[in-house]
Amino acid sequence: MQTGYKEHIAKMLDGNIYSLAKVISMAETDPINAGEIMQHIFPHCKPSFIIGITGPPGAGKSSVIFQLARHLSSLNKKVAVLAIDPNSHLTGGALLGDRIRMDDLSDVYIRSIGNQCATGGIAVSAYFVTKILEACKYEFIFIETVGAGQSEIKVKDISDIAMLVLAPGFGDDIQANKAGIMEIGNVFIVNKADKPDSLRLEVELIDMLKSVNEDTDCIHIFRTDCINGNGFDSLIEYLIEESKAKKNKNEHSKIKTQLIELAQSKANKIIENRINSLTDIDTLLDGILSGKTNITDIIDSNVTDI
Amino acid sequence: MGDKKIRVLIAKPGLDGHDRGAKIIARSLRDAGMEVIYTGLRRTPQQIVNAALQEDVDVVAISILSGAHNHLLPKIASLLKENGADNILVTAGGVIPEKDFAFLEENGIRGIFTPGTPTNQVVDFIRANVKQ
Repeated sequence: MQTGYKEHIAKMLDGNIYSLAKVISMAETDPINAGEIMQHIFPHCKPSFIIGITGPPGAGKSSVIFQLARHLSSLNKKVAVLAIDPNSHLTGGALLGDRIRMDDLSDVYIRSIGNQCATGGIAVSAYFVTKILEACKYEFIFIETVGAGQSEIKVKDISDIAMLVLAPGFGDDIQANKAGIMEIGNVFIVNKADKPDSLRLEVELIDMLKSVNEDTDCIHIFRTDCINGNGFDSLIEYLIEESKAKKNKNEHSKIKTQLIELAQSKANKIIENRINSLTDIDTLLDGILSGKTNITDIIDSNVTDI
Repeated sequence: MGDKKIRVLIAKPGLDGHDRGAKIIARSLRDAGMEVIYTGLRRTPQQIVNAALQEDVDVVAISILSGAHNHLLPKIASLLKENGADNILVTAGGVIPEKDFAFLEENGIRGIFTPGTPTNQVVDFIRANVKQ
């Protein structure tokens, strides 16, 4: 367990940014054992509006967030950005590059974190980080997922609203994203709207959504252009309206998902350790390969008490 | 999960627009298992320090080729100190004449790496000097 976290939490609640960053690091490095820290965080949380942003690499997720954060910040809203990028499976290292596109946001708290090789486009610790930001009274929190395209629906589990950013020029990207598009939600951003192909993308998107969903009234499509800053007024208006209605409605399902996920990763470690420390593992493996040993029995004997 | 990784901010202060070296260092540190955050070009010392604080980095690695190192680098080190972050290791790389090394070292810059430095030397220096 980390030492000195109480001091950092006190300073963080007083508005100290460096202490906020330290507390996030503590929860992020070892989320399974962050329970004691989080006990001191939860009572201070004030509901914020959490916006998950996903989409393929290069569609403009960071640039869209930059524009939205800038607008909201100019309306005196307290805004934070959690930008998630992948860690290398080989070395654990990461190049966290989302910040480059978010310069000049002096009042916005931006934090880059690695996904620690987790699947689903976000880090296991992301929920805790959002709670720490809520304790610091951030009103709008953006979560930018790893840009991989298909399977990043986990951001939905911890967001109040999830938006998919698309841009023209990705070929049959819509096709490739079909499964993901259906599941991410009903808000779509057609970015790079200055490009002529963007209209076609929008039409394709509407067609595709209509083909699976008869009720298209609940679908929202916004056209944005980050170079000229166009199209953001209506999107901001929409987000502010939604924030009044939706804020923290599904807190129980969020914490339950987190609980399951952390318990699973703890169980995974236990199982891995057990299998690795089985006595005479090589004979056992030979037994499986030669047909003498039943692999299901080995599995059962190692997980019965978990 | 569980291991605290070394976090490094690669920063380009001032007006030079050449970041090939910064990107090579960023990749080398990433491949050495560190989490690397790049600020992008033409940042002010205040912007760099804000990013370092928000990101809770262990190292600020500054790349500079403009010749303004004696002005900009001590400013970054002193702003970190003002914000209670003088535990962060500050290193510099780029075109820095040897005659300026002593002045920079007196002003909080720990490792100085000039063109031609093998990247593993930078990795080793950071691992040996970082405070976690």
